Amino acid sequence: MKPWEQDDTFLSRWLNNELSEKELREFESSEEGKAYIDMMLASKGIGTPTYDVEKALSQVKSKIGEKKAGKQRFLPRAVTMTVAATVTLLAAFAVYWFTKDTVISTGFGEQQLVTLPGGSKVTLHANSSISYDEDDWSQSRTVELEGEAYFDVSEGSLFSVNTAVGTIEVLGTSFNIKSRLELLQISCYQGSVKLLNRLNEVILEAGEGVSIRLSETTLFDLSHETPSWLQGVSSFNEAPLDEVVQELEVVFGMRIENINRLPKEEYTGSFPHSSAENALRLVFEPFGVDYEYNESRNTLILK
Amino acid sequence: MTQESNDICQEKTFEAVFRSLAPVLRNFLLYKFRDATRAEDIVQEAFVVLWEACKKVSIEKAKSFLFKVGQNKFLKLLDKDIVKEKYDDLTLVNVEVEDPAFTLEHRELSEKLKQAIAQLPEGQREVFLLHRIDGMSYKEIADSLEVSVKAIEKRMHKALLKLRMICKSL
Repeated sequence: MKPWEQDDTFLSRWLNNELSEKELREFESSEEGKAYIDMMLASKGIGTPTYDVEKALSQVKSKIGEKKAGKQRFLPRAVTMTVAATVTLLAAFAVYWFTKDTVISTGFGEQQLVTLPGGSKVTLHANSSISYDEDDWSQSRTVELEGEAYFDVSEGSLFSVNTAVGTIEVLGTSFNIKSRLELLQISCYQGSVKLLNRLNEVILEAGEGVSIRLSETTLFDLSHETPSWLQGVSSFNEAPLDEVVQELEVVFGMRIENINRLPKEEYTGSFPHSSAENALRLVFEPFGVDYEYNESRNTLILK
Repeated sequence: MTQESNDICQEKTFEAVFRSLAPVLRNFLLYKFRDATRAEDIVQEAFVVLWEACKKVSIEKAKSFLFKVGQNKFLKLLDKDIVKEKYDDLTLVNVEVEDPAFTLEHRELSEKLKQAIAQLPEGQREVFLLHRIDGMSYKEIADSLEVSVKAIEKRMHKALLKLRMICKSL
């Protein structure tokens, strides 16, 4: 029996240039192999009818416009749609109708400066979002945060930031909050900051920071005037390696395969956002982690 | 605040997402429905759904979201028996090939191949065409259909075996 008859991914590996030299030679010199080469060449002559993207886009925009005009009727009609679509739609409508929050978010590898009503400034790190209620802002300066952001809060009434793990309250000050998975880390650069959650009430003065991982709380001193990521460098002090890898993921938008092979180590150091390859070297070389980085697919494979 | 944003609720971003994803979504649905007009209608419906859910869908997830919405609409039409299994309906066209190795015989073979493709099971057909016509990698197809890369490789392998078998008999 020929290998392409018994190996159930042989021909896909052939198309993807993944065969060994020996396999390739044997296959492409066989009669069947030649027939497949011709077939793949012939497939280049097949296409789909042309598609007018701009026309389709303007039709979609006019459909959206119609729905906006008839919003009152829209909800009952949605009930008849497929389950998946309906759930998503209802969720989106709930957010829209009941809170009307302003939401600002960044994707992988992005940063964004946001000016809040009253002049407070927030710099969002990659893959993060904040939301707040603009109408209620004069009553309550409250922001929801997912991810990481640097806040420079103008003086005024109490300013609070809600995260998954706790609430941070300040008057006027500058500070950084990182809230990703089970980590909450707060660094206070000016003024003072109060953290409230189920387990802790911690007050930080300028130059102090606190990390909460699961229920373990660690206080630390800051070594910089502002967070280093604002200057395009991510820094860590005795951070679990998986937190560092998560940062690689958000900064470079890379996909990570075999994350379970990551050793349980703590990393102290930093990496620049300018080059993924340098960053990987800086993070993994100290631990002798074997990895492969596929630049075109932006994928990190741990070995 | 900068206007640059990854937020699909921003009109400019939505337009950019449409321009980059509508053609491949349309082809994907065409491979399923074998009917360009119906595929294009569903592309529009899927993007309207995306717009309404724009706060909940990140730009990275937009592709698999659209593929899923498109597929759901397809399945619904199948339930209603609107989509009939008719092999000779698949709308594929001839395209110019620059490659000098592409001879008249290959043009004849591609005619046979078009018929053979129409006879493939739906799952194999969409993988084969997304890879060959839309240039998607196995990984991209796997992510869009939310199945494993291995499953895509198997479908591709089976598709080639079957196409070869059908072409031989034509």
